[in-house]
Amino acid sequence: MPRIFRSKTFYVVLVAAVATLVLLGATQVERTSVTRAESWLTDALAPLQAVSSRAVRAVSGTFDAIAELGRLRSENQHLREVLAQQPGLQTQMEELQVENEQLRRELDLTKRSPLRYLSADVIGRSSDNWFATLTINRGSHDGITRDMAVVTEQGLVGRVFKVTGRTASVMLLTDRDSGIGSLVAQSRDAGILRGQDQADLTMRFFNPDAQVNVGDQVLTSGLNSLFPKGIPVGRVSQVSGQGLVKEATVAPAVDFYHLERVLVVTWSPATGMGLPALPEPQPSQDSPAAPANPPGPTETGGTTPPQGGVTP
Amino acid sequence: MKWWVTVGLTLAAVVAQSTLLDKVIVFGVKPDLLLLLAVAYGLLYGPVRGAAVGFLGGILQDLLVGRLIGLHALSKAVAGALAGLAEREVFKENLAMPFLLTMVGTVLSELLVYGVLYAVGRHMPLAQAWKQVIVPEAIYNAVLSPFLYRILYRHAPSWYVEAEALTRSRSSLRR
Repeated sequence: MPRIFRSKTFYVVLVAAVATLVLLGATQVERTSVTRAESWLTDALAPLQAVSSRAVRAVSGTFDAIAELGRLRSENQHLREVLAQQPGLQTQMEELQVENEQLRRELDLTKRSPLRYLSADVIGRSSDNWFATLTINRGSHDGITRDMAVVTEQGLVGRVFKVTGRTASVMLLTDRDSGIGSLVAQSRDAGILRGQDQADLTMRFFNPDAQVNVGDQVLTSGLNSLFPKGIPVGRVSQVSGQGLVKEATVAPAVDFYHLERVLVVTWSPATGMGLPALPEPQPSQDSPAAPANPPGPTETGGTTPPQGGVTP
Repeated sequence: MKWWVTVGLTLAAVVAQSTLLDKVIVFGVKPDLLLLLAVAYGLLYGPVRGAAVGFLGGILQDLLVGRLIGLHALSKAVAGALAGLAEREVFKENLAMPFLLTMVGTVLSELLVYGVLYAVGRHMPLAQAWKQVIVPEAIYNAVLSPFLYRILYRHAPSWYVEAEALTRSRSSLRR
């Protein structure tokens, strides 16, 4: 018998390799639940990730502030000069503000999009260069379930694909496994938007004669029942067509590199997501549009969809 | 190095990998601390410990990401083991060794990841993976590796380093 077969290490390596391959095979498809080991480890490391994220944010914020100081000083000087040349600007602005408030009331945006959100902090990112995911500090204890849409004020971020007690993992739109039903706001041409592991997304249209132009806004179509209809996804930056296939490159509306806080859509009339746990929202007539900073980590009901959305 | 120090280092690297390293992205990639650790352990203590540290870091990373469990465990264990195979053949004091071995280890490890991802239907063109992930990450990891290696080498038990030097001098005398 060769010497290697008498070695204990050989058998340990063999068992580990086989176990790994079995695990790989078992987890190659997207799972509906997580294992206890995953749940335990993710929850155990979540406080450490939160502390580390806060520290990193504080340090990088300080450096950013220092770097911006010079630019802000010259910008301030420039704005002072502009202001001095336009004495009526303040009055004009106040008038526009009043008009804006009136228009908002008339439109009654809250009635048109009765979504409910739960705000969450980003505590972790994908730890490799292959997947585009992030971890948030809300989990099943907060009512988060798999496949809930995640948004910011700018637009769609992605969807929840893994939930533990205190955390949830979000697959970003840019991930290669991400695919969502979407449509062009102007022409209403629909298609599938996919991540390419790059900054931009690719939209493939169902109709090869789709009317799409650079600069057109892309929204969720609501066809795949995961995402509520009308959430902004991005803008078309390039159009290409090969025979029967028409494609567009879409620049995402959300800046994925600087995400610190997100909103999880816990209820929408279209998807019925979270319906058993959450009462139907009661939007107030005078509710303003979605606040730039969502009010704390509590659940937010009846706010408007991310800004720039066109409600179909 | 004591086992609990190794486990602590690996856990710290797992947390840093998903938080801190996101702020040091260069050419679109972040370095892989866990791979650096596996290669450094392999080079210092041999293939078994290199593979063990790679496997531990990789499986923790896999469980945290929650996608393909075993993907990083396998690739990092291979990188650690390969670095460990060179352990007896090279001068550990030479900082060019971790640089070269980390570069080669990253390329092999990430090609393995690419192969597995491709096999499960995640079809990224090889040219894109090579240009966008594998090459920049290999360079980035290689540049950082001598720093981490130096720290680990300094904290390696003195009996270990002395025994290693003795073994090498004996083997060179035999030749």
